[in-house]
Amino acid sequence: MIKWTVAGLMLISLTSCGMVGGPVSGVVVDAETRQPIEGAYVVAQWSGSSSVSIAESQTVCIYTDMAKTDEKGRFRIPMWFFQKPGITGQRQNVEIYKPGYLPETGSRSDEYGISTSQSSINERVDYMMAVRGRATCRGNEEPEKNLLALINALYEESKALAGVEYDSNIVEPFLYSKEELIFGYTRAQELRKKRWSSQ
Amino acid sequence: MIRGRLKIVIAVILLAAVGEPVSAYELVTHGLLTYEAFGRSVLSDAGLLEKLGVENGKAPFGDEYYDNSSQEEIVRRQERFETQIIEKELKIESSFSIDGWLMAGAIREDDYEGHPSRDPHGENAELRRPLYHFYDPVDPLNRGSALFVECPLNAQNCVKRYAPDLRSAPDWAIGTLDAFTWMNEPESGRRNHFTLFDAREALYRALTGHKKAGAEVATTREERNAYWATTFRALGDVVHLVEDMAQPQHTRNDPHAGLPASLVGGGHKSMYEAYIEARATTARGFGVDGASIAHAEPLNTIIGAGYPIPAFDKYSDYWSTRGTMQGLADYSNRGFFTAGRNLSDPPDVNYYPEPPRDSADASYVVDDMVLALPGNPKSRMLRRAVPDALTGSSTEVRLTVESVWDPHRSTSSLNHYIYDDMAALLLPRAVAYSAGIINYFFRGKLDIEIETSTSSTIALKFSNRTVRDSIYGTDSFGQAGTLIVTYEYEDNTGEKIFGTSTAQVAIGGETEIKPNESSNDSYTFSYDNPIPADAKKLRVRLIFRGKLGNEDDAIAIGMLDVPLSGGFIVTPNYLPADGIAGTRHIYIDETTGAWAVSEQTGLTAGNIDWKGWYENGAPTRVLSWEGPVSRYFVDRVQGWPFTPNIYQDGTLYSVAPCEVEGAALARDAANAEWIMVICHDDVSDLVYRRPNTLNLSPDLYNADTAPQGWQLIASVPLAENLAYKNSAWFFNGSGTEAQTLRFTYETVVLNGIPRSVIVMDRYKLSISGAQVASIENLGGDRGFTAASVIAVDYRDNTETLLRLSAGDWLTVDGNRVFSAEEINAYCYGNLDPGPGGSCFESSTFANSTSLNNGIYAGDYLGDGTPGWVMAHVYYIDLREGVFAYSLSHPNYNYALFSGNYRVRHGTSTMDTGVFTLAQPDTLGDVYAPSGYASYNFMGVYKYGRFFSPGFAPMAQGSWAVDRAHNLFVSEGNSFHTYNYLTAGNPADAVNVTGEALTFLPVYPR
Repeated sequence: MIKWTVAGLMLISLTSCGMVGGPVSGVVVDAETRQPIEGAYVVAQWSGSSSVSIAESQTVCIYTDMAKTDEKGRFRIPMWFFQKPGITGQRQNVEIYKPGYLPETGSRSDEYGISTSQSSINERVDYMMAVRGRATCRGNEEPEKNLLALINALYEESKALAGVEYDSNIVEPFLYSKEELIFGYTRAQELRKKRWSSQ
Repeated sequence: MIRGRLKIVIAVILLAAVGEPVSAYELVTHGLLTYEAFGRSVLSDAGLLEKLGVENGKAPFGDEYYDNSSQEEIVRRQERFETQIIEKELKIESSFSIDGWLMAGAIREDDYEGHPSRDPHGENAELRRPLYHFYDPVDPLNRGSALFVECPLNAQNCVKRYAPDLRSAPDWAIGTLDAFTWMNEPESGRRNHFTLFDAREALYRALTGHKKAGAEVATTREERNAYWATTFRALGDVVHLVEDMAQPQHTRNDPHAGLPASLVGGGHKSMYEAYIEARATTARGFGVDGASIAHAEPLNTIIGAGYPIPAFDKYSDYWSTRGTMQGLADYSNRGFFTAGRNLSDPPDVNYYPEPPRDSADASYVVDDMVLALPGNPKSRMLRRAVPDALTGSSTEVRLTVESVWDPHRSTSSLNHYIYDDMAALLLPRAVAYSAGIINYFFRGKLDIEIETSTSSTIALKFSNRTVRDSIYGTDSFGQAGTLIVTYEYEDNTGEKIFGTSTAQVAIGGETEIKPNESSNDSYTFSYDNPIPADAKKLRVRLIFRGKLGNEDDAIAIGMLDVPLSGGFIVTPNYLPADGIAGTRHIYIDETTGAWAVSEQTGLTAGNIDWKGWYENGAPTRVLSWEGPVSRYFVDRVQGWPFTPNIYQDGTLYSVAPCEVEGAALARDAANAEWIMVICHDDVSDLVYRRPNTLNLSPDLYNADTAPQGWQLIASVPLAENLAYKNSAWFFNGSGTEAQTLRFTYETVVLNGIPRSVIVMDRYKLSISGAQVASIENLGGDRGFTAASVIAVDYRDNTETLLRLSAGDWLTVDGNRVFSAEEINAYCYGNLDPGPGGSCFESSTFANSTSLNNGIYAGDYLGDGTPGWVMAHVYYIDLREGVFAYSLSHPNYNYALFSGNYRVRHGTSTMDTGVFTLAQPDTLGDVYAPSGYASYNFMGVYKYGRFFSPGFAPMAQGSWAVDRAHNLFVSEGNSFHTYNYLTAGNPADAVNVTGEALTFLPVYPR
């Protein structure tokens, strides 16, 4: 009995603690000239390990937020704090996005280099889809409306890449994401189904 | 005790070094593995999807599916949770596609206590699905994970307590209490509603709209679509449980939730799974082993490695084959260590015999490593060959590393190099085994053999096309298997109409129908509503439910587009009125009795056919291939038309390893069906066979790489002086005999004049059990002076011979084909000597006959050189007694030749007409081409002074008879082509004039 009580106490203590993350700040620069870049989107995602399952564990998104660089290339994503039960561990992932640019690879510090993208359209869309994936906090029922500016920028670039207002392959994923942020999952699905059925 | 404390300390150090402990194969990993498994499974085969009646797309089934408990059926919807993972993290276009639904199931199989959303069934609200994801192939209890182990802090005193509701992964996946011994007995009241039993029932409802018990449950397409979504969602759950077997912690009872080990069901965090998830998501800045990996290497490079897809005889084998250890759990359990069941762990913790717990075991290869740390501590990496009992191979990889911090080297651990090695072996197998179980689920295949088909009923037999498994009339409990027919067609508005037979039919009277065997009985089904006369694209499916191989309650499916009365494939050479281009199928609509055109496109056939397996006087099977226009005599000028292609039912069905000169279907002693093919190389005619299945590979048989390949079963040596090495072969209806005539030139003296004539040696193959039993040279006749056999064929199984006769010219089985009146006018010279010289007095049709793209005969000048052709037989079908021929004559007023060519059948003759061959002695309606009279004299230019009252027709396309004995012939010259069709006009069907039409003769059965 004592054993079980101890176990229960430990479980409670592990699963009810508050979560805190950030702030994240830094500067986005041109990868070659190291000059600051204005108007780049910086999205940070914090993930942790869910211990809701006692058999296995899952990586879950804890929180995601976005900032835009100022004229000196600076950005700051503020600290956050809230109760999120059942999560242990924490990992922070920062992604930089600016239309027409790609981030440099390598270890990150507080200076993030980006350079003009030389990718093909397919490669570019693939990268943009990855950015969209980072800007998604899986399992959150509430849309991450703080990311609307980023999703909108992705949507605008997708239209430019497609060369048309709507394209079922290139534009559709970003239009859907935008609508999901604005209208929610159910309504966005309805709108998308209408587009699919009209093709 | 010291050791235990040390472990705890080390575990803390490891966690700290890792920095970010994260999570089983995780959700993105499962999604990715499932997506790859889909791509390698039969579900990516458009042919299977067509047979199922579904198409993949963005959202072919909508977003609803059913969650069925034993009590109630609840409609659920795909949720944002799985949609986000599939579309945003895995970047798959739609989570509502077939692959999307599979992935959704694989993701939601990890639901835990209402996360991410509550289960709608009350008793499942707190369901902890991951508890059921373990299977230990070594532990005789086999009750899944030892999650409910009661452990004090001293782990050596753990007591395993298996909760009564725990199920092992295979039990949970299949939905039984014991997947290995009770695999056909579903657990009643089971809490997993997405088992194989559920997937199978959903599949049956999706296909038929009916429950297994027969009651109708889905009356609309939307409802059946929700069952399709349910089928694939449930299969996704099953696939998850196979994939987990490629994670050794799931097969070595190593819980890995990340909670303290002392807690019930706790276990350390699985760094392996977290690391693999990081690779699946190509995470940036992922921390492992104390270092940060800037950009994790994608998994695609290893999961697409192409491990061969296993094919077992029962579902449980995909987890474990027990003694032979070929299941995925067998492989991962004995091949690898895990963090909690490592080499250094004591026997009560790591209680597995493999890999050996003794690091001095000879099977280990040890690498000493000096670490770049203060004091240059040493560590030892142990490598070992991981055995694969399925392939019989092994691969040496890094398995464990002895800790640098432990001077006694009594503590071992894993790192990401080891994880990379593990993943490289385990993930391709996760994909292949998952694809394998999907393939096994959809393995049941039938061929439908229609006996009669009307607008309200269909009578059929079926053959079992499943690769290895027999169909049984009754299952292990004596329950009879059932058949049900579904149909679909387009009505006159273009709407797709779906229906079924009015009832299931039991097949308890069948014993065992082995692969490639046909049912003993025929089965008659009544449609729930009659098929209207203007229905288009009528397609029926036959769904068997019952014992297939080891599975008591399997499903097998057959599909057939129903041609109601045979017909032909035609190719209008301009766009018909309905706007559909390409080849078209015309057939007699049984409700109107008129020729009609199907909207099916993309059909194809050869112009020479074999009809066989006759029942009630009508063939049930037809194969066709490319051959001579005249059927028996090739065109010496145009060359040899043979190709390797064999067609059936309007599609390319098989590709031979050589140019096909004859083909048929035959059965062996076990009633298995084979395609028999004859062709030749430079020295022999070659006889091949292969199992009769749709297969377009020309590969020769190889036990490993082409088990369905062509087998060379005989060769017939060719003579050295053959005029042509190619010679068409003709099989009898049962595929048990085949004959050919080989042409050899010889010089003979006719009427004192040396002439080059051909000798026709007749060869006969006797076939027994789909093997060549004997080869005979039946000899031949020299020249055309005697009753030489010049063509051979079979009317069903009765041999029929075309001979050249000195007195009667052509005879079939001793009966003359042409009247004396016709052949007495054999010599132009007798009527009009003219400047060409007189006809040699003793010349006859027989000794002036040549064989080239048909049969020619005419007069010969006195010096033996050929003169003008008087008769040309363009097309012959000895099976039907059809002769299409023209006669030319200088006297255009001669009544006999008022028409331009004739078609003869039996004793009936019709000039430029068509008659009903189904009633061979009765002339039917005649459809003369419009404007015919105005072209009566075209032959003037072709024949110079020897005036022909009709123009000389040339075979256009071909001439042929369909299964229902309808005749289709073409007449053409350089100006016009006319097509004639028994009791009808093809132009009525395709709405184009006959001259704008070519056709292939044989549409199916």
